[in-house]
Amino acid sequence: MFDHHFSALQLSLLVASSATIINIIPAIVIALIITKTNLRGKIILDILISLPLAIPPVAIGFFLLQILGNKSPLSDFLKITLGIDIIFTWQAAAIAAAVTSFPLMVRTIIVSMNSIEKKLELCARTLGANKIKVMITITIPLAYKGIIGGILIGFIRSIGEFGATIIVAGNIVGKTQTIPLAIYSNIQIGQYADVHILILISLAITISSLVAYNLLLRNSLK
Amino acid sequence: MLHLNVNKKYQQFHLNCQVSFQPSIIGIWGPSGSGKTTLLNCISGIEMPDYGSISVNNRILFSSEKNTNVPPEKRRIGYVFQEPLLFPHLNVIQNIKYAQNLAPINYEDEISYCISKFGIKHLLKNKVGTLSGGEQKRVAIIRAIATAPELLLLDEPLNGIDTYSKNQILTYLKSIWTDLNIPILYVSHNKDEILTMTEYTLPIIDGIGQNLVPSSQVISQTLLHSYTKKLQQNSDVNFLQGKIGENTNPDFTTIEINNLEMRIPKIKSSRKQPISIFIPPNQILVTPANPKQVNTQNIYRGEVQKIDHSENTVTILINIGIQLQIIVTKQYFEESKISLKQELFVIIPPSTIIATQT
Repeated sequence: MFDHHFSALQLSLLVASSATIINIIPAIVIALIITKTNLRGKIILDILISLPLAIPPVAIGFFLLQILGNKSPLSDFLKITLGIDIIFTWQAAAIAAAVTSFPLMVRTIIVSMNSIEKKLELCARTLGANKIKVMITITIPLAYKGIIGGILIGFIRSIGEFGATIIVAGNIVGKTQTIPLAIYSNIQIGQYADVHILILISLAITISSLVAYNLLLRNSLK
Repeated sequence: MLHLNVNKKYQQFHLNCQVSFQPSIIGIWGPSGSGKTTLLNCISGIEMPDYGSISVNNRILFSSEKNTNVPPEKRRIGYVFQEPLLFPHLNVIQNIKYAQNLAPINYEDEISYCISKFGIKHLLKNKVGTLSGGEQKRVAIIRAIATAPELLLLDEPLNGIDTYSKNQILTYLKSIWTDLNIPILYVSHNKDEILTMTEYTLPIIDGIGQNLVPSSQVISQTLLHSYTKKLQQNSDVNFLQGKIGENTNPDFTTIEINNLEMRIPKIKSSRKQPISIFIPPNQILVTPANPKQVNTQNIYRGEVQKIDHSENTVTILINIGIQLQIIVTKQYFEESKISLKQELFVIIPPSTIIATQT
């Protein structure tokens, strides 16, 4: 493995982990709102979070560019307050990966929360727990498998993210070039040996995350 | 004091239950689908009545008029569901601590009392999935007690439990009231359980909560229901109106119907208060011989006025000052050689009389 492969791997792991970590809490909260509350307009929320699944990633990248790009209010705000220019950085790649992987993560968690026996939660209420306490002490622990599964799916989706990333983060070697972007570049210049190595690397990441997932589940059942 | 005025409508079903009583161990009895669980759900707060009010010890838990609906976690009602519903991610003691830590009063002593009494001390560290059905039920009961409840609701607590554990659990349950002083509402469709556990019972039939009756009368109360349906066309059969008479015997309440005195099991009442009673026709005894030896209340003499034969039974209309319909078996009718215009002795056991205060 050469330096440029290694830097692509490093960047991919950094971008995907950041995207996943950003998503965990909002995904759990939104899944709780959708499955466990009687909030009005829940359906709208449900549709909104699923939109990134329906829109091509390139288009998501385009929207993000509008929001984060030069002269947008948000980018001005970030430049003035924090002095950072987010576009064409690995952080922009992380945001792109977070947006595209979010619906998959939430959907997986929703399924597991819906499968919890509702009576267990009602029973916890009669034992003195209010709604929030029930979510924290009963719903989340019992949806544990689904939450881990959602995190895993989100992470794997982020590792493979291409379309949105190339628009908002560009394809700068050593700075924003993740594995999928490196594969794309190498295909364009006909470096097929590099392409094969990069594919193997991303396969290795996916397989090891699946193994980690199964180990976690097995431990939780003990 | 527990006041219930619960009205809840589903598509085909209307629960209507208006009753007040001093809780001890009170049974709630009715056939499946009669609305028992819905009533408990409303008391515990996990379902909301359409209208009405619920209060325990003068604390209003629900009132449609005052727009009050105390959330379940603040009601201090312990609820043991039909299924044990133990939390699978916690072990036995963690399940109990879950409720104990949230309770307004720490029931440490009560909990250790129950743990040793219910014989689950050796199971405290076990995963709940490894427990038998009876063990799970016991843990669920202790967990409900750990909430320091003012009232404990038990929904068919012996469902799916083997006979040996059943008798054990019945003993434990009684000790919750006698030793810990926690009143219980005991829901069951099983008359034997109701009889063993409770003195008084609230029958719920087709969603209608009746008045409290002595648990021994729960059976006749069911008859009342089937008779009222059957005798719709002849609806005043053995339905009598009277008023409370002078109190002469501490075990019974005397009622006066026209000039006839009749004793029924003790009920709370004041003199001259109007009362309606129903006497199931197949619970009345008739005999040509003078039943001098029989030590019971309510022995009358009357003349047979009408005899109706049907397949296995004979219906006799008899006048003892009031007209009563009596159903006897064909065999008994022939052996006793009952005939028209004959004078017979009529015995009405007080426990078979169903009284409703109007």
